[in-house]
Amino acid sequence: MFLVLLFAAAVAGGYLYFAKMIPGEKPPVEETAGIPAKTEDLFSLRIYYPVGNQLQMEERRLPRRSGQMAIAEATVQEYLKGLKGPTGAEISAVPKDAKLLGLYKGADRVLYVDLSDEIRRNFQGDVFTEYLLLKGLYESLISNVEDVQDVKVIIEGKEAETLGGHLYLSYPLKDMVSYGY
Amino acid sequence: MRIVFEAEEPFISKAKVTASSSRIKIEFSEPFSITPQKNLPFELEVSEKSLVVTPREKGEIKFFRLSSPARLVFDIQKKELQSEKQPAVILQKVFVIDAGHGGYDFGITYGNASEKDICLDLVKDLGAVLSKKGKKIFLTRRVDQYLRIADRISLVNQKNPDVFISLHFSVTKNFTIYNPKFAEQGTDEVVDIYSLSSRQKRFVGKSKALADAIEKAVKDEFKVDIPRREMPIPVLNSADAPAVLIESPSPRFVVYDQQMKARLVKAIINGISAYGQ
Repeated sequence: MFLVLLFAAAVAGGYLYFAKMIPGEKPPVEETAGIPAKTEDLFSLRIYYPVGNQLQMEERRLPRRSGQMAIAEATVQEYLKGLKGPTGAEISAVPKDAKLLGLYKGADRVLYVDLSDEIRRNFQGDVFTEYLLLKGLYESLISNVEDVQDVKVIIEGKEAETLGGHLYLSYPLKDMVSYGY
Repeated sequence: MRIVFEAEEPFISKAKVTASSSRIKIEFSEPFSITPQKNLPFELEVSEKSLVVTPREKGEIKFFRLSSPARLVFDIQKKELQSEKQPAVILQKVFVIDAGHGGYDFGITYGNASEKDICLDLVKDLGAVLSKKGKKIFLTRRVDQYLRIADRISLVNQKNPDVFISLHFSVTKNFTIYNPKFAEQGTDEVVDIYSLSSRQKRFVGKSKALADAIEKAVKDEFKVDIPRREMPIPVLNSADAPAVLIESPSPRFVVYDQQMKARLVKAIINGISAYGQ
């Protein structure tokens, strides 16, 4: 008998819950003359894109994220979107269709960035293009995310020796990208 | 040197000329007589309707048939660089040559041209020229196969070469030459992880000299400026030998036909030769 009542209560609760989500019924909006009901809370990310022979910093405004890992995720996602020129054509050397698969932070404060294989497969570049691609990712993360000592890229969940056949991914990036240029 | 044959217009216009770098043959439509100057710097062999000119020094021959007055003109250009005639002298004995990329890693592509294939052709050609000079040549790969960077480095260090050259492509229309670089002494990096495999350290100066020599030779051959970069590229930093990485222009901008490949190989050979002097 108790179980039946509980079930009935659950059904009633379920009914009430789903009743609120019926399409067509708009939630009540608090209207205030001339002022939007809600102001979006934005924050800025500094993204360093590889363009030609250098990195080009772009500021991207996004809805605020809470937590450093969420900021790191947004940073990588913005980076992977690349940079478009005035004509709408891609001008950065970020390989197309590359996706962020995961982000992990080690106890050693190394941020592990797991990228899809497109980052390797769609890469078309020489030594310096590869260098700027990795340096741009590193600088973007270090500039926006607190308490990160280094960045290591993995591909499809596994350690990869290289992205473009010239530079190592076997080690975190800091040492390699700190040689100037 | 210029050789001029002057005669009446119909006689000149009907003359048939064949020329090589060492011989010019002129066949006329009718018998003739000739009045040559004395002490000519070439041999002259005259028969009834033809004559053969053999210059004492070979060279590039340019032929013109001109009028007013009607004449046949031959400009014989002695080859400017004596070194072009003589094979480049190379003192080093053992070479490891690396064709970038391979297998599923195509490198830079443009149409049907791919970095992995053209680099393989180039290293084979370069290896063949060096082999003919009696050098011991090891290629990191001889076929289209994927090879890890670490495997390339292992091979280099196993063979203990006098010179290591890695061939790649640039994304631009330029050549770029890289030589190794290490962190400055006294940097307070926690651990210079990237340079741990730094067998190259004792060869940095020689690698730079090799890069300088190849830069000059490529510049001489192609009449272009060569961007230079010093970077900690693994295949260079870990090589236990004087080492350079040469990037050739992208196939987007250059057609890698036999002539282009031959010029590039020649330039590298000249660079290696100059480095050894």
